Amino acid sequence: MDYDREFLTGTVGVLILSLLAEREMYGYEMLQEAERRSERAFQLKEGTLYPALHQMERTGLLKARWRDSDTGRPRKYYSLTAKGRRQAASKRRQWTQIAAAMRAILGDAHA
Amino acid sequence: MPDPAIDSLVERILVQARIPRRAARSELRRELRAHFEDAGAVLDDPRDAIRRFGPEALVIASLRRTYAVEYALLYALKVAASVATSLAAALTIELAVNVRIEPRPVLFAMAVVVTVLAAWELARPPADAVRAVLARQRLLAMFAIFAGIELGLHLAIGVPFGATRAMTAGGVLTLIAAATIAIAARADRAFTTFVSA
Repeated sequence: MDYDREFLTGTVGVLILSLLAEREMYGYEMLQEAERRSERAFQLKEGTLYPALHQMERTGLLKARWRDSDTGRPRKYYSLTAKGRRQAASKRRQWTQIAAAMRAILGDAHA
Repeated sequence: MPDPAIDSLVERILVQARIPRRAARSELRRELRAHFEDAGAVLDDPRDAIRRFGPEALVIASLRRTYAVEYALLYALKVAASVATSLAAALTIELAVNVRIEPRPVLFAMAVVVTVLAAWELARPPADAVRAVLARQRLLAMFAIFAGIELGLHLAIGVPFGATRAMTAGGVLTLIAAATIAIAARADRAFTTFVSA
């Protein structure tokens, strides 16, 4: 599904932090996981993930290492640093509050 | 077997992304190839993988933003190195010609270096344009302009300055300008190699 670009601004960072809060993953795995969980509603322009990952690695939110994936091929796995875990928790709280507020507003509009 | 269209896309991104370190570019190359390897295992047509990857320009712009500070610092370092080397070359030429360093010719030489480098950074001429500027006819024109300026300036302030001295001064300034252009071109080549090779 194509969403308004304005809605998606800032979501890539939250998506990365949320997925990596569970376990370390490599880029393509994150894309697949986001698509699976959103039942294919959330399809990123895949190439935009890598600049975001590199930016977050450079700002100390993520760390990365190369290791063999389940297929036996080496992949660059990302995981959260302590700073990244704090950021993930903070973003999660903010998004939960925003989502609740939006649901309340949209619910009222339909009432 | 890697698809040529995908390989070409990855290389274009790496060349244009302005990532200052070779190691960082190599790692991104490896990561993007791994991405398309995974995409190829799911999608039959490489064109689908490229389409899903998104617009090349968007990815390049995002990578440029990511590495912007490092790139800007390196660019500033390149300009500083050009200025320092060009000024050193200019002073060496002045010293070789005048035996002793005098304030006025030195200031004039510095003005030439700064003007040439400022014009260089604004225009960023390609290699063939540089060769054209350094061709004999252009150098002769530059020499004539500098000699004319020297003569005109001295006439304007009422200081006697013969044609021979004007030609000598013009020759020195032409040599300084040519050296500055050559140094700037070399610094640019080194910089380009560092950020995209």
